[in-house]
Amino acid sequence: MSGLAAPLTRVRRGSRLRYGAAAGPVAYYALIAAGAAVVLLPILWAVSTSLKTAGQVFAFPPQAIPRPFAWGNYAQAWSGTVPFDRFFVNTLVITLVPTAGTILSCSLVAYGFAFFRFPLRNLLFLIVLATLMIPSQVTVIPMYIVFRYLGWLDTYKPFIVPAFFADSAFSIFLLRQFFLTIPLDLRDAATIDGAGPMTFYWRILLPLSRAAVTTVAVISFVGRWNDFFGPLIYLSSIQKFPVSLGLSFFKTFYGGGSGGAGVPHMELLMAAALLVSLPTIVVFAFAQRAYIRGVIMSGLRG
Amino acid sequence: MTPRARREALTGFLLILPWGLGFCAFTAGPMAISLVLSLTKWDILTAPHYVGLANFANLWHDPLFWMALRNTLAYTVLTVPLSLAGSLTLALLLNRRVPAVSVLRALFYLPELMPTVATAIIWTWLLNTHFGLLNYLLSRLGLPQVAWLESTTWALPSLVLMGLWTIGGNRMLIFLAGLQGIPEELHEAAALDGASRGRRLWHVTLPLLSPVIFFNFVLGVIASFQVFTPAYIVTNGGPADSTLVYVLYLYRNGFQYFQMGYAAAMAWVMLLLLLAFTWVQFRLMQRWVYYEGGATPG
Repeated sequence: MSGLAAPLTRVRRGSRLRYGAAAGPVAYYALIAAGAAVVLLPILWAVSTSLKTAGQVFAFPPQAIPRPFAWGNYAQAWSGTVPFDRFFVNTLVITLVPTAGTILSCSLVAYGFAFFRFPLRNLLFLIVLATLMIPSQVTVIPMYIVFRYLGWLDTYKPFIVPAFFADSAFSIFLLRQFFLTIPLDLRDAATIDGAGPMTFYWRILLPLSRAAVTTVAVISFVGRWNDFFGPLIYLSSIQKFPVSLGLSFFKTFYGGGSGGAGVPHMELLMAAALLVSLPTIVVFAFAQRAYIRGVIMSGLRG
Repeated sequence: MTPRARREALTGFLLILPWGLGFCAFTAGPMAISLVLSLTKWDILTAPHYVGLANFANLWHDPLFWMALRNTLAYTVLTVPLSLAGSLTLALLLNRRVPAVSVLRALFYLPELMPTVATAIIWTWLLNTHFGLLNYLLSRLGLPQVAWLESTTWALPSLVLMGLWTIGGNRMLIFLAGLQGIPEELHEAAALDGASRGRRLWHVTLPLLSPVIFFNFVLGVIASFQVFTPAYIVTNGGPADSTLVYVLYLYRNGFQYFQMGYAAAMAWVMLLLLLAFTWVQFRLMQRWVYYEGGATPG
C-alpha cells in the first residue's frame, strides 16, 4: 500500500529516471513547459494588470511589465468602497467552522461504516455513494424554503448546521476507504487493552489517518472558500458577504457597468481577484504532500 | 445475535446517525418536498396551489427551457471529452520520476484552487475583444480576432475554454492515483515482450485505467451539467441567451421570478436526465471497463 504512494511523493534523485528512449528529456520538458505556460499565462497577466495604473491598462499593444509598479492598487482594492477585510473574516467563519464539522461528522460516520458490522450496512453505504450523483440544485429550492421558514436566511446557519451532519458523501467515502486499510486487529488489541470505541477513534484511528483527514480538510476548505451559489441564495446583507459574493459585487461596481464607478477598473478587479485566491493557494502549499498522499491512498484506483 | 454483535451493531448505528439525520433533513426530505412543489404554482408570498403536471407541460412549450438544455448539452459535449483527454495526458506526463515533478503538479493544480468568481473575472479580461491578451496574441500570429464574449457563436466556447483551464486539478489527481495503482511488473513484462511505448499505453495502461476513466467521465458529465458561476458572472446568459445554461435558467425562475414550482419542476427534470444518463452508462460500462479478476465495481 505504501509502495503505491512512495513514487508520487518522493523523488529519488539517485535512481535512474524513466525517460523513454523515443521521447527524450528535451522533448518531454518542452511539452511540459508549454503546458505550464498556458496554465500560468492568465495568472501572470492578471498580476501584471493588477500592478498597472488605470492609464496603462488599456494601452495597445499591451505591455507585459507595468511601469511604474502601482502597488497602491492592492490597498485600494482591499479597503476601498467594498469592505474586503470584512468579507475575509466572514469567509473564514463560514469556511473553518463547517470544515471542522465535516471532518468530525464524516470521520465518525466513516468509522462506523469501516469498523462495525450492522444490518443494512452495505445498502446504507450504497445510498451514501448514490448521493454523490444528486445535483445540489434538486434540493436547493426546498432548502431555501425550509431555511426561510426557520428564519435562517441571511444568517450563517445554512452553511454551518448541515456540515455537522456529514453532508459530504465524498469525504465519507474517502475516509472509509482509508480506514479500511487499517487492520481490524489493531482495534481488537486496543479493546483488549481496555480502550472503548471512542478512545480507539480519537487516540489511534485519527492520528493514523492524518493524510486522509488532511485531504478532506483541504477539499472542504477550498470548496467552501470558493462557494458562490450558496451565498448567492442564502445571504442578502452586504456586510455578511463572503469573498466570492463580495468579488462579484466588486465587479458590478468596478466593471464599468451602469450604477458603478463608471470606467472599468481592470487593475482593481485583478488585484481583488488575486487577493481572494491567495488563502486557498497558501493552504494547499502547506498541505500539498499529505493531500496528494491522501487521494492516492484512499484507493481511487478503480 | 450474540450480545457482543448486538453491541457492535448498536455502536455502528450510533456512529452513522449524523449521516442518517442529515440525509433525511438535507437530501431525502428536500427531494420529496421538491417533487411536491413541482406540482404547484407558488410565488412564496401567497399560498401555493396544486396545478398537477402543468409545470412540466409549460416546460415542454418553453423555448428558453429548450435553449438552456441545448446550451448545457453543447457545453457538456465540448467540455467533458476535451477535459478528460487533457487531464489524462497531463497525468501520464506527470507520472514519471523526474526532478521537480511535485512542483509541476502543484503548478498545474493552481487554477483549481482559485474561486470560480476570480477565474471568471480574470478570463473576462483575457477574452476582452478590444484589449484582451488572447486577441492580441491572435493578431500577432496573423490570425483573425474573435469577438469572444460578445458573439453568440463564441460565448459558449469561451466558457468551455475557461473550464478547460482546470484540467490539472482534481480530475488529473484522480487519474494520477489510478496510474500509481498499476503494478510496475505489468509494464516490465510488456516491455520485455517487446511492446513499444504506444502499445503498452494502449494495451496495458488504458484498460487497467478504464474504471478511473469511467468514474471521471460520469462525475464530469454530472458536474458540467451543473455549470453556473461562469455563465452568471462572465456573460449572465448572453449575448442573446447563447450562454443561458440550465442552472442559470433554474436560478432565474426560482430566485428572480419567484416561480418556485416551475423551478422545482426544472430541478426534477434535471435529476431524471442525469439518472437516465448514469443508468445507461452503468449498463454500457460492462462493454469497455476492465475490472481485474472480474470483481464487481465497488
